[in-house]
Formats: sequence, C-alpha cells, structure tokens
Amino acid sequence: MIIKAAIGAAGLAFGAASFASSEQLPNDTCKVPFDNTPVGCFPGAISAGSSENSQGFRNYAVKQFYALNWPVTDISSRAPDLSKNPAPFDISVWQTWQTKTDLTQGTKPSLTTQNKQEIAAILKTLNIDSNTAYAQHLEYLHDTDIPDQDHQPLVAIDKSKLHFEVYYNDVAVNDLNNFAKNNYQFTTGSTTEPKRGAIVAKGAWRIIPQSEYSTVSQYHSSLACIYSDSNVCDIQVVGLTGLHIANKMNPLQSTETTCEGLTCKNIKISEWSWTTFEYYQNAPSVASKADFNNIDKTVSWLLYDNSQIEQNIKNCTKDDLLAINNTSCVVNQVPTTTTQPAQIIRFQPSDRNFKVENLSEKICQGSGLSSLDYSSCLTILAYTKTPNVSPLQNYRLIENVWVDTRGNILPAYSGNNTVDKIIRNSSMEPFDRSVSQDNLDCAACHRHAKYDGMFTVPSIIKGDK
Amino acid sequence: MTTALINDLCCMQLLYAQATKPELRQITNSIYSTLISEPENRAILRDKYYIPNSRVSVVNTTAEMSIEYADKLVQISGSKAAAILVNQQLGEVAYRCVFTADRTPIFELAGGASVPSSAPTVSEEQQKALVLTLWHLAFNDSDREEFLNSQNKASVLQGIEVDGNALNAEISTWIDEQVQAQNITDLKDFIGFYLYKATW
Repeated sequence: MIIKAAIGAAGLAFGAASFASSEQLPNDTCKVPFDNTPVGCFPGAISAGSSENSQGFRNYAVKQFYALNWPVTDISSRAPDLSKNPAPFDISVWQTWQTKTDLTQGTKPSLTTQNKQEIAAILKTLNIDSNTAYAQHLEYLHDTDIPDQDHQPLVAIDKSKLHFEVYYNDVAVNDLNNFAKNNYQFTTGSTTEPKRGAIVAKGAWRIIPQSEYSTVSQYHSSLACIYSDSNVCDIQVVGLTGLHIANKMNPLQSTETTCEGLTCKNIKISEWSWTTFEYYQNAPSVASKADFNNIDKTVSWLLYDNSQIEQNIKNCTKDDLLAINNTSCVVNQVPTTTTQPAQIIRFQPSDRNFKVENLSEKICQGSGLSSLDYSSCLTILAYTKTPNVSPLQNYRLIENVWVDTRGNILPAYSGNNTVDKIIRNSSMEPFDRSVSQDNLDCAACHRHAKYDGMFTVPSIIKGDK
Repeated sequence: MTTALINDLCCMQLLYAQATKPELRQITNSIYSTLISEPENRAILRDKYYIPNSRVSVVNTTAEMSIEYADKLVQISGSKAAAILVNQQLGEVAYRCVFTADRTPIFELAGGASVPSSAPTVSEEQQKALVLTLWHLAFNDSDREEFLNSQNKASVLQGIEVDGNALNAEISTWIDEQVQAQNITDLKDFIGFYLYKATW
C-alpha cells in the first residue's frame, strides 16, 4: 500500500515525474482543445477574451476539473497518465496531493492484517484488479466537521457522517513551506510565462455501505481508511459528494485607484477563483412551493428525506415561495443533535432555467438553457461519450465565483429572488441560509481569512491539527 | 446604408446570438485563450462562429460582417488586454447603433478600462436584458426613434421586452440620466463593460 508522502521536518516531498513538476501545464504532450474534450492539462491562468467574464471563469473551471480528475497510474508521481482516458474506478490527480492531515503532521493509522484482508475482499466484490491505482490508494479520512462551520458535522439521510479533507497542489505546499519569505502570499498562475498557481481543493466524501455497492459506479469513489482518535482504520468505500477548488489563476490587476472597505478586501483576493462541483443527487433544487411538489420522489437524495416534503411545504413556504426564515422551517438548519440527519435543499437561483439535478444529455443538447445551465452540462456532454465514459458525468458545476478588477464579487445576483444570494453548495456549506448584501458566497467568506484568502493556513504553518 | 454601419449592425446581431445561444458563447470563449499560441484557430473563430452568427436581413438583402471586421474582433479577443479592447469596441458599436440619430461614429472615444462609479452593478440576467434591449433598438427604427425622442427614456427602455427579458428601473434610469446629461464616454464605458461580460 502506497501512502501519500507526509511532510517531514527536513522539508517537502515532491513527485519526480516531469509532468507532475510541470503541474499539468499544457506542453508538447498535452494540448488543451477549445472544444469540450477532457484532457489532462489546463492553462496556468485565465487569459485574453476569457478574462473578466463569467463564461471565461466557468470554462476555465471545467477544463481544470477535467485535468485535476485525470486518472493517475503511478500514485507517487502525482502525475496524470496521459495514455489513459477517464473511466470508472479512477484515482484522480488531486487525490494524490498532500492533504491538510499530511501538512499538519497528523498521525495516520497503520494498516493491520485485517485491514488488508478487508481491502482485498472489497476489491474482489467490486471486481477490481489489485494492480490498479484504485487498489493502491487509500483516502485517510478523519474530519467529520464541515470545514469552517463551527465543528458541525453533516449527517446524511442514511445517518452516516460525511467526511472532509483538504488537498494542496505542490505549488501551494511549496508556498506554505516558504510562506513568510513569500510575504504570506500564494503563487499566482500565469500563461505569459507558463506557471501554475496555488490550488487548494476541499473534498466531501460519503461512506457507501456494502448494501449499495451495486451503485458505487455512479460515484467517483475510493477506498478509505476512516479513523477517529483511536487511530484504527475502518476500511470503507467512499463516494465523492463535492469538490470545491480554489485556484490562484487570475493575474489581472485591479484598475481601481481608490477602494473602500469590502471592495478593497475583495480586490486583495481577486487573483483567486472558487469553483464547486457536486454530485447531482445530493439534494433537490428548490425556490418555491411548486419546486417542493416537483421533487423527484424516486431519487434517494443523500441529504434530503422525501417523506418530509409535505411538512416542508407547510413550514418553509409562504405565498408559493420559499420562506426559510419561518421559525418552524428546518431545511438547511443545523440539526438539534450531531447524530441527526440534515434536511438539505439546494437553493435554485434565477440564472438557471433547469434544476441542476435534472440536466441530462438530451436536455443539454436541447434549447432553453441558460449560460450557467450549459456550463453545468459540459461534464455530462464530455463524460458520457466514449472514450471518456466516467461517473464524473454525475458531477455538475454548481458555480464559479470570482472578483473583477472593480472589486465586484461575481456572478452578481439581482436580489429579486432572495435565495439567489444564498450559497448553493449542499455538501460544503449546507447550513448557510442567510442573505448578505454583496453575495454571500465563496469570495465574501474567504476575504475574511487571515492569510491570502485561505482559512486552513494558520493551522498548517503553526503545525496545529 | 454604409458598409461600416452594416458591419456594426452585424456585430449587434452577433451579440444577440452570443447572449441567446449558450453553446455558441461557451465555445467561442474557449477559443480566445488559444488565439496567440494556435493561429489556426483565428480563422475557425471568424469563419465558423463569428461571421455566420452575424447574418442579418438589411434592406431586403442578407448581410454578414466583413472578413476584415471579423478579423478585428478576433484580434482583440485574443489580446491580453481583451477585457479593455473588447469593452471599448462593443461600447462604440452599441452607442453608434442605438444612441445616435444619424448612426455615425461619435468622435469622442471611451477608454474601455472601467465603468463610472455611479453606475449600478448589473446582474447576469440584466446583462442579458441589456444585450437584447440594445439589439432590439438597433434593428427597430420606429422604436429607436421613439427612444431617442422620448423625454422619459427610462420608461421606453423598461417597456422593451425581448424573449421575456427587460431592463429594470435602476439600470434604465441610469442610462436615461447619462443620455440626458450627454455623458457619452460614461455611457459607452458602461455599455461596453456589460456587453463584454454578457457576450464574450
């Protein structure tokens, strides 16, 4: 079993392969096509006519998703295997990066003989060869607290807790190792002189019980060692429910000569962009009473109990619209106990004409799609076609958030529909239900981080867990 | 009608297509970052996407933007300063096609680098409404004449609905105020900034 290299006192462990050291930048062996074909590389920055508009950021986010999810054969290399195409039971590039646990020198359990037997049994059940990267990779998952959510777990309808981990690319790790010298700033990507910027990815995983192994291929999955303070591995199969990617990739400088308050804070983090991709059946999209009535009851939502629809209509709607401020409304509310399943809905924004869970290959090839709808279609259109058929088709772009050179957080919402201004990441910020004046979203939150927009930095540079 | 005006009207038609066909906008936007490193993509952008989607019926005939005009759009789209150059171009085109009675270019050029601090922030939905409203006025002579002659331009703007999209009061009023005050460069900068965000 190969375990990710942990940071040691002497310094950082880097992969030796040439493509890993180039951080998946385009080169002679990998060119990024302008069509929707997934490849294992992506540009160092947003550039030219893609800059300063949401379509450009969404396009970049999707190409980044394709590359960071490119399959790895040699896990220690942390490099995409360009000879392969995406397929079920892949291990993605980002899974091979160093994690927050690695960087805080957290202790990982050692595998026991019984653990190894359990792994072998699961591989046999799933019919996976022991020589594959899938068989050789383990996610070590300890944290059940939603990152930055006051030690609150997210409990799925099946009563299992989601697990979270943060992954850093080599650039980010190197930046952290020299953080004071770098003036507490991460590296920004570039295309002028091809350079990869810092990328920090947050993964949310669900445990897939043995009784659901028949549907495991619907998820991007992995073997995992689930452990607590007892430091003993509980070997499980986990499925990805959400992937939140922060990338410092916007080198455009602000043209504002004067700025005040939050605008200045926004401009300071304007080289980052934040993207969330989520599993399409985490939670139903709702903005009205009709949306509750139209929830697909044949779907076993990970985070929503269909038996509660009538109750939610009664307690969470007013005049046919969503009214989450009603005192008796429990959707997206922190449960009363840490073992109680959450009732999560995804807020349906007015810049979508289709619910993200209803998008399909047929709908995506039809008419009536908004710009955001179509951007969310790209993974479906890419991963349902050979040779790239992959469970990644079930992960949809929820949104990309960025800051323009005026310091505006984008996309901007009209405010006509209150829920537009509430974050929609069902697995990452499920209990955010308040509305802010300038878009309560990734940037509005990250601008308050002490170091260059990243919250996890203090715990890493201090060596705290 | 001059060739220059026909080209600008074709450009307005291209903006309509970009705002209403998400698959067109997605793929053209994907090409922009390749235009320097892969010169062969310049002709693809021009011939496969820009020119065909600029076709309009003008004076009982079909017109499309010229190769030279399309080449200029391609060139500024591939520029590192695209966010400024395209803003500037679209501001000029829309101003000429909608806000001038004789539809000649206005000598006073806008900078394209920023928008006036007094301008409202425009949501994605309202950006689309802005594109479609300006497109409508560019191609409907009677409505444009009514707009230009109206003492309440905000009301005229709000009354234009295209494919279910209409400008809200805040944006319509701000545009009205700039026209009344003859803040030509401010208006060009504002329009260009948001047309770029909505269509590029």
